[in-house]
Order: sequence, then C-alpha cells, then structure tokens
Amino acid sequence: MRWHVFKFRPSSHSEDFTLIATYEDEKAAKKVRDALLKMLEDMEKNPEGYDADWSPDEAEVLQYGDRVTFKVYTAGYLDDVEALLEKVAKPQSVECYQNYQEITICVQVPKGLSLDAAMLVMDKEEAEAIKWLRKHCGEPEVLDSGESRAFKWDYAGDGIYSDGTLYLSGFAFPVDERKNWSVEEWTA
Amino acid sequence: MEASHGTVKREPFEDLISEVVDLLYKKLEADEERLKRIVANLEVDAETYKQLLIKEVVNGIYVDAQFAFPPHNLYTPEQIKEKALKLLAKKVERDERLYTST
Repeated sequence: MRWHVFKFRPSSHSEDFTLIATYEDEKAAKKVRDALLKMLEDMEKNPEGYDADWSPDEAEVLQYGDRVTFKVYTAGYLDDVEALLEKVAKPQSVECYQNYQEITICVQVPKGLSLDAAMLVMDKEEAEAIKWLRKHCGEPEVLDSGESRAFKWDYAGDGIYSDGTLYLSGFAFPVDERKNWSVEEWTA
Repeated sequence: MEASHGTVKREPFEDLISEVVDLLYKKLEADEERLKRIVANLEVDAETYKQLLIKEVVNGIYVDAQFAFPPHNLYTPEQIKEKALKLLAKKVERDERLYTST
C-alpha cells in the first residue's frame, strides 16, 4: 500500500529554523554533513533547482558526533534539506525547531524545601512555571549551597525565552522581575 | 452531503492530491533506470526514495490544489498536475546533480 505524510510549512513570516538529525554513528553523520555542504554549493550554481527563500551563504551546517545540525532563517522552506537528511543516511530522528534555544533555568528556594512544598509557598505564576518546566523538562537537578537550594532545569527546543520573559505555552512569565529566578542562554 | 457515520468526507482537493500522487508514481516508474542510478548512492531503497520525492512535490502543490476548486478556482486541476510534474522533474534533476556526479 502506498502511503504519504505531507505537511505545508512555509508561512508569511520568517524565523530561525534549526533541523537536528541524529544518525546511527559519526560516520553516517559526516556523510550527511558532506552532502549538505555539496547541496549548498549546488544551490549557488543552480538556485532555480531549489524551493528556498534563503541563500546558501545564510545557512549553517554543523556536525558533532552522530548529530547534524542545519540552521537558516526562513519562512519554512526546508523541503530540500529535510529530503536530504532522510535520503543520504537513515536518521534515527529529525527534529525541527523554530528559534532553537538551549537554556538553563534556575529557581532558588530556602534550603530543605522540596519542589512540591516550594510550589505551595510560591505565588500562582511561579507554581505554573514550575509545573510547565516539570512537564517539559522533567524533574530538576537540586543544588544546595549555604542556606539556599536551587532547582535547575536544562531546556533545548523551540524558543521560549526572550527579553527576560519565559513564554510557556501561551503563558508569559517575566523571570527578570523575580530575584529568585534566573535564565542562562547557551545558544541564541 | 453529510458524511455517513464512521466515514470521513473527502474534499475535492484531496481527490486531486490522490490523482497527482498516482500521476507522479507513474512518471517515476517510467524513469526506473534513472532512479536506480540515484538510489545507488543513497541509504534508502527505491520505494522509500519515490515516497520522499512525492512528499516533497505534494508539499509544493498542496496549497495551490486547495485553490483549484470553488469558490476560488484560481487554478484548474490540470494546471496543478502540470505544476506537480514540473516540480518532480526539478527534484529529480537536483538529485542527479547531488547523488550521481562525483
């Protein structure tokens, strides 16, 4: 039986897109990286052969271990790239992110307080934020220091942090207004 | 007309997409030798390769296909099929450049 799954992504506005493909081993990832670089060269010579709103020199290709990352600012014109990621080697996964971020989020509480107890004494917004973080990032790392305790989450995915505010599924949480919260960004 | 219980009513453009998919398959089957040369340098088998190509082409005509019926009628179904075939030719040429040349 023939089957097809298709989607339509291009939209009216552009964003930073990041595709992250993971392969069986480093050898396969290197093969894909080389194929992507060859594709970018071909795009220079044959732009009419591609459906893209970006030029090859705007794209970034990275390979580390078994992982290949492709970044570009686009309204979603990524079919040529996605097709290559799936053809040149068999990916274990291909993830697509908009405004990809890797951030660390910390909240400080008095030492000895459990996260559940902290949620009871914090205000409603903080409790909502913690609930979101637990759901999407799992249980936090607990760091005790002096008289305080910090709960730390590492997050990687679509952009959620901008101008001092965390955007958590439609809920805006201004962390910069709270002394006990901090966010450290690892990638822009 | 209401869809009967348990069935999904198909929009006319979905029928057009199905026709396009069949058309693309026939075109690719007629180009078997050409495809073999491309697939020889890839990690996917011929059937998966065809599916990936068709997925790309359908993505490229999907919205236009929706506007090929009332009340829009911006295109005719024939124009959509023609566009799909042109897009397929472009994708195959791209893959020949990428995967059959050294």
